[in-house]
Amino acid sequence: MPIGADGFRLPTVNEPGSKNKLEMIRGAGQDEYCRTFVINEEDHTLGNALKHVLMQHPAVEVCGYTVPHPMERSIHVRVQTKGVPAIQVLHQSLTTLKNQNQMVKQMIQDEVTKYKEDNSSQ
Amino acid sequence: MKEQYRETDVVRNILDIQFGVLSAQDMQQLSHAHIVSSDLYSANKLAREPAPHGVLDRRMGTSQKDVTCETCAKDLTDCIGHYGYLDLARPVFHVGYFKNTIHILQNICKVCAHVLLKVKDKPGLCEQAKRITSYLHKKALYKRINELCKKMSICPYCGARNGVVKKLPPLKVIHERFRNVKKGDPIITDYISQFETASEYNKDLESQLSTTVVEFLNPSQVLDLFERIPLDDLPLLCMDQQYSHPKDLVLTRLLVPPNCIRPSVISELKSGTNEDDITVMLTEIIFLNNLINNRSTGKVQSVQDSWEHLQLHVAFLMNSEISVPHDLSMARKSTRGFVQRLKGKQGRFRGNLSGKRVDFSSRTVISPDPNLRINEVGVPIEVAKQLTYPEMVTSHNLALMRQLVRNGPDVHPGALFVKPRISPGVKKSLRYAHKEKTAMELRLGDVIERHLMDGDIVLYNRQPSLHKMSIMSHRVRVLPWRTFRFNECVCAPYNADFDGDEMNLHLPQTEEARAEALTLMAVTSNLVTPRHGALIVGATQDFLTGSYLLTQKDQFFDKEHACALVNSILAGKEASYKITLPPPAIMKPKELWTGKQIFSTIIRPNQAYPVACNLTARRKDYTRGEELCSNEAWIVLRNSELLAGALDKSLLGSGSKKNLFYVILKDYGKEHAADAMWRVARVSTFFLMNCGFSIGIGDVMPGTGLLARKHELLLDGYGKCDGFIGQLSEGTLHCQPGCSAEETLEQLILKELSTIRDKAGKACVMELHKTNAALIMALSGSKGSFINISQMIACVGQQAIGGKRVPNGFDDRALPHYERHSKIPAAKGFVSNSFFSGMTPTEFFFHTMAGREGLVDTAVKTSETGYMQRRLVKTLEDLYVAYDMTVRNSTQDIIQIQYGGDGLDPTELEGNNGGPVDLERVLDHIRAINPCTKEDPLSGPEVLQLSTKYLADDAFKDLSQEFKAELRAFMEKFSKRVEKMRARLSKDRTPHPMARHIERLTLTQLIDFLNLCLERYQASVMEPGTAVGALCAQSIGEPGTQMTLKTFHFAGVAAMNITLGVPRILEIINASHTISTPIITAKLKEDSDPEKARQVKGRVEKTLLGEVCEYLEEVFLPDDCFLLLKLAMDRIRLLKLEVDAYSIKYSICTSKLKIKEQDVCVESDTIITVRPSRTKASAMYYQLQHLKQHLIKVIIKGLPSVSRAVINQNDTGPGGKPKYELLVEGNNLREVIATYGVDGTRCTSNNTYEVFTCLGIEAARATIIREITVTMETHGLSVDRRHIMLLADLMTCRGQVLGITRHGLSKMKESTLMLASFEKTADHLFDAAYHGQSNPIKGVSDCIIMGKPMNIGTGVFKLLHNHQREPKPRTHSLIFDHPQMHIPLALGGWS
Repeated sequence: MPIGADGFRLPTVNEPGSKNKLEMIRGAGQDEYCRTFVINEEDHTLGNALKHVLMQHPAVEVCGYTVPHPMERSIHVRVQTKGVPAIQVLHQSLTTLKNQNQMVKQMIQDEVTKYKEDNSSQ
Repeated sequence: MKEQYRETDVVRNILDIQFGVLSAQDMQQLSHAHIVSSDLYSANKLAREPAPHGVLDRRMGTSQKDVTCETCAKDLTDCIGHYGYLDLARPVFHVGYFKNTIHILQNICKVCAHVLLKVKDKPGLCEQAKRITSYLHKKALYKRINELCKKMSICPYCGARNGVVKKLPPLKVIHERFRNVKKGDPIITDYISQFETASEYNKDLESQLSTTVVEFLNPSQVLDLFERIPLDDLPLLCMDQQYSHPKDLVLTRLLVPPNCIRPSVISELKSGTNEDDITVMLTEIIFLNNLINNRSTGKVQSVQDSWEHLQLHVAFLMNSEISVPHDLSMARKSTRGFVQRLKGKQGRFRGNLSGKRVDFSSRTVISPDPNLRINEVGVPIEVAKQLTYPEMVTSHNLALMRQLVRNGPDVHPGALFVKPRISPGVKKSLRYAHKEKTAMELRLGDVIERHLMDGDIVLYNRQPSLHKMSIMSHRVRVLPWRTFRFNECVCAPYNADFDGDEMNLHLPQTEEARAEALTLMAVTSNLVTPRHGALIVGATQDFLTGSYLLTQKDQFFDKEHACALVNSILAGKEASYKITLPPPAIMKPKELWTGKQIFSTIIRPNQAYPVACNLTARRKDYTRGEELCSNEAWIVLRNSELLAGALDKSLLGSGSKKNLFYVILKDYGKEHAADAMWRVARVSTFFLMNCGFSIGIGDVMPGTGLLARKHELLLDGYGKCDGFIGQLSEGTLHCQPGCSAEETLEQLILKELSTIRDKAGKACVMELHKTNAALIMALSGSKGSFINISQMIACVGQQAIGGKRVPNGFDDRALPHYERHSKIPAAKGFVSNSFFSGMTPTEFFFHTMAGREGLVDTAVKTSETGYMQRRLVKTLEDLYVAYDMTVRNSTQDIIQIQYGGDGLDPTELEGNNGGPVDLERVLDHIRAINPCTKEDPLSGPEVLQLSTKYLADDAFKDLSQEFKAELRAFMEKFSKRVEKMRARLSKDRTPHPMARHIERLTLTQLIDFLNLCLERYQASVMEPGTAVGALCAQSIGEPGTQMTLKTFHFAGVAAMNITLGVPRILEIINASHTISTPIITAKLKEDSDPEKARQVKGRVEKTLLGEVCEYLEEVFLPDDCFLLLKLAMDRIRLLKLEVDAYSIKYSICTSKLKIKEQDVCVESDTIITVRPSRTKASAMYYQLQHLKQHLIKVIIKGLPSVSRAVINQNDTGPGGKPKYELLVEGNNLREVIATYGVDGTRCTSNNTYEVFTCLGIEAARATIIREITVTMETHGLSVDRRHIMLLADLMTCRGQVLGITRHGLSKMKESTLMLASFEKTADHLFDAAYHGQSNPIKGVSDCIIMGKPMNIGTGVFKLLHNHQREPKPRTHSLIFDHPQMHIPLALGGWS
């Protein structure tokens, strides 16, 4: 188990390198409406934003995320819903987040071009 | 697949070790080479061949890798070595047996060699000596016979005179034949007359003869005497004829040890080799030997000198530390003899046999990781790749094993070696093998030495290992970076912090070892300390701060934050748990959850989760009003819901039984408790990370109000102190009982100054805002105390050295900045500044003085308690609970009939005063988890009646009477409570609507409760095999390290000093005869009358004549001279002394002064005259002076051994009347008990030996228990009474108080190996050899030394099974197997 350049542990044999990006934890308490998702190779950058978006979803009862160990690069995202299956909510929220990001990106780009245009004249 | 575990080599099992003395013949038979040459190497320098018949002869084995042994032809690793022998030119004494040699010489007649006992005594003693099996008794008899023989001066057999035999250092024996004979006696003159001719030619001889006549007994003479001791007398020397004979105590031959234990090292610096000390000494001995042999025709003197040298060299070979007169020291450098190799910490016994270096271990620096679970340890990947575990390939793990082999030694989950099943003993390294091929060739049953992997069981340890929780098993988490990591909750048992501490890790190598480690040593199995049954693993530091802040009243969270907090536990096995957030506490204007709700969810994440804990507790700062307490110090947990109170150290930390985790542990088991602990750790760190917690200079800045208040306090206190000082100088200071004016002043000032700091501390805590970081930490118990806060903010306070104010180090002052004799606070070390305001130079100096004392204390303390711990463990290590529930040692002697009097395990006890169940809490718990809403509650009498009936059931017959009584009393109390409540609620005859709900207990609940009590009781019964001795030693030794050394405490108002702390514990444990502060507590027959008490005090306290004398004058008359004493009657009356002139006269006459009765004259009631004796030779004037000096010291009343008696006032009499008792400083309990007015049946002393001699062994036992308990309690340390009882029982089990010292130990234990591994190694070994002792391998130390599993704990039982043996083949008689064909040995020519 070599240590990556960023100080995190790299994937090992038990956890093959070609791990899925998204996994579901199995165990007592898990059902369609209560899911813990493991998102590999992610950290607070995605986790916090995703949690925020999930919170806005009307079907969500409880949601949150945690980093199980700061030296392992994965996050656990919990979605507990009412009526709509959790996986669906996660999917929708991820899409929303993506759209929001694209929008922000677009806004920034617009601002940049506008600024450049404004300043290039001088 | 799994092979059954077998003990290694069950065919040969060491049962005992026989000690004995080798005879010269034995030595020869053991040997393979006769050593005669003093050369080490042969003359051929280049070849470096050992000289034939030299001490390096290769027939004795080899010490080099490339050379094989000439006897067995094996190489260095396989040859075990062989002995050689060398013959001494003259016999010499053996240093080890020198003491015994002297004893034997004392015991036998120096002419006829018979044992010097009366003829009629002999057969009896002989029989006794033969019959004794116990080593202890044998030693005692040996001593007794020696005493008897020493008294005999005439041999009853030959009539020869025998005198005193003494040793003359270093190794000579003298016999003073005519010691008790007067000078002119014919025996002496006859004896001297023998030398007449000799002294004619040698004038020096005459002068020698005129002084005392002594004979030197040289080894040859001694050997001759020993050989002549009659066979019948041998048992009287307490030797075992089979294994030791007196003549072997004098050496005529030496055994040369094999080469491999004294290897010669080829030197790198200079040419040639470095030889071992033993080799060098042996060559010297051979050299001297040859010298004597060659000189045997030379001068007597030179042979004599060489003989003495030979004697000393042989002695040095055995023991190089014997003291030698300076002129004989022969300019030796220090060498290592045989004894030196054995003894000491690094010696063979303690360094190699009792403790060994091990494989499969590692050590590195530790660091904290709150993300790891309680039972996990983070192991660096580098370590994981080095440690291996042999795992067998099975059908279940084949794929994984193949992958491991493929990965090889350098990729982490890999493997280092493969051991194929088909070729046992072959170990294939994967470093050099074809990995892919090996992986595919793996077969079921092969063993793979794989890397350490996640989930493996390891033992984790931090030194000093003071108790069993210092080594626990953890599960591995392999992590990057280079430190071992673990959850901070586990810091307390290891006593670890992260300032650079290192810890050790061991990897058990078999499945059995793992299983045992997992079940017995797991962190989760050791959450509770056996010392007092409270948690030792618990939340610390940040976890406490976080939880405290989270559970405050004013913590509210909106949905996003509440979810974030709760979801922080979703790691590990909790990742799948469903989380049920309770309905928000506040709905409008916004949904808000309280911190308490969050905490409750953490304890019980969803309704299906089984843990429903119930607890009502109060914190230390509880005020009043239960739930409405302003400090939130009343804590209510109901079905895992935190209803009231903020959680602090007492609820979450270690050391308390009213603890959240403890309740979970008791009601739901260790796994749930450990999980809850981890969840709390995780959530509190997450909470703190988000809200932030820090301390800065602003936190310790005092406000203006505080400054004013402090100034006021200082002025006031200083004023009072000045007042006291003024009173002292005026002489108006009212002395406290038993104190001088100076001492009283010191006490008053010290008390006043400490109140200043206390008040300043209180004022600053009052003034601090509740968000103050230091305050939060102190309140939550995570770090720091109120004293620390007040020292930082308000006032550092008095600096104490040795419990007193700073002493005068300069002339009459502590520092030269103050005036001489100044007693003002500042001059004696009072620091009025705070750490924030900064100290003045003098204050700073005082502070460093106190600081230094603390440092010295800790340094001294560690070594002292460490030694105490070692002694305790050595004495108690083999005590265990047998299957019949008695406590026994390894020789099956009973120490206690039932462990602790009730056979209960202190680890399992929940009750506060030693009971197994906290009834109140368990009842509440039962009522809360099962409300039984449909049932009707029972009435008071029904509760009592039903419970009594149910308790009478057969199922409850196992309960002890005490516990049954406790249960019954509790049910009675409860039924009264129900009754009272019912009466209050139904005053107006109509049933109150609440009557069904208050103090409700239904039948189901009652039965559940009683069943649970039964279950808990049965669970807390001690398990057979438990090493209770070791637990006891650890439970008493470990708190010793926490005690501050040398604290002297004031016991109550009586101003009596009693030694406390480590010194006191040492006194008790050592069973010292004289203790530093002996105090007798004497209850009085009439204890309510202070006048009567004073009378008794007068009778007990030592009063000198000088103390009641008004004056003492010399009177010279023309015809007479005498001393005139005037008694101070007022004083006598005031002190209630029962003396008058006549009794004083009697005292004077019976004193040591030897004054005759007619010389003392009572002139009147108050005047006594004493005349010097006329018959004495010395001048009367000098006699008078002598009398004058010594008369005032005559004791006229009281006990000479009592230095002081103080009347102590207890306010606990009936009707609030004060009761009086006498505290007597000093010894002689017997006399105090006998004093009129003292209630003899209620007197005790704190001196165990005194109590033992006066009241007997049981009283001594009670005293030991009481004194240890009191000492521990005053230091705020709680130790279960069962541990102290066991220690006291062991100390007194032989009928006398034996200390936990080497003397006591050798009277308690028989095992030589055990004693040798403790202290005085060589002495015990030589003693055992002399007595021909056999040492059964039974004790813990013995088993460790022999490498056997010990007979304690899981080793206490054995699997007995009848092995089906093949029938023995029929024996054929041999032709020559006939007595006729044998020549008896005795008649043969070889003897």
